[in-house]
Amino acid sequence: MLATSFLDSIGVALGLWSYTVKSAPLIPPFVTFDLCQIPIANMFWIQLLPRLNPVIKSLILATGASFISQPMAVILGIYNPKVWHHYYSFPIVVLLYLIADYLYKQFQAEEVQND
Amino acid sequence: MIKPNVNPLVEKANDMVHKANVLIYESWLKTILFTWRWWILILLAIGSWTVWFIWRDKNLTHRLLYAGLVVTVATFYMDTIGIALGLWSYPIKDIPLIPSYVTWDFCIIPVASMITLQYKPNANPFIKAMTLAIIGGFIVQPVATRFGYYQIKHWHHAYSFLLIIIIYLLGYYFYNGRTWKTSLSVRGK
Repeated sequence: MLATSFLDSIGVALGLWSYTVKSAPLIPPFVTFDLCQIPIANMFWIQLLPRLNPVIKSLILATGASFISQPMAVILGIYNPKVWHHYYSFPIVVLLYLIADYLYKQFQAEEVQND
Repeated sequence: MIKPNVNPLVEKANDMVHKANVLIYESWLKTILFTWRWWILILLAIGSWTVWFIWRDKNLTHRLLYAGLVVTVATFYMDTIGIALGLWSYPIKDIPLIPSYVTWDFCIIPVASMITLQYKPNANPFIKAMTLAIIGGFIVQPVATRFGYYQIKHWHHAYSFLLIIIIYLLGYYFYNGRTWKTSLSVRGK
């Protein structure tokens, strides 16, 4: 969640993409995406199908996010990719999901140990 | 190829942000990078995480990180809003981007909060929050202002004092599994 927000700031700062519709009238809050949709999608995906290999899950999530959600957001006029390509987002989504999955599992293991 | 929706007014504002960032980058190269103030900022960033890494309770690592992340998100957004509204600013930047408060929001503040959470687990959390807020708001902030790391525009250290209490208690709440009671595993049984 934090990592995506930070990446968004960097992306907008570099003029690579922009959000044309804003939930809060400030630069750069991407509240709906970075604080709502992206973390919730990641949380659900960690929770669902716990036996599926996390790498496969991350690839599916990244496919959905970069090749379905992002183009949809462009069609709906919420997101403007400028000089960015949807497939650039793909490895970032994979990496972020795998970091979140790792931290979640470590957290759980620690809780079991401390009980 | 899908034609993106372009809102000319929003686009104009975004372009101004981009130009502001180019300006920040140029001035950062000329006036900030490799100066003693910049090096101290980098040392503080690395030093704070090193202290945490050595001193942390190994059994509570991920619980502490979770609370630290909550604190980071809260401070990061507050800083972003504060800068956007022109309430305060950071004259020395570790990386040349708006918003970048890496040393403060990603290192010093979460680490200070995690250390406070771990230290004396049976102490009253409100007293701990107040202590952290007094140190942060009335010692660290004025010192940072004195040495040119922080600039107050339409803000008072007392406002930061209140924010630190709220953000620390938010971290405390998540640290204890979203309750206001200190959990047994945190107390060390």
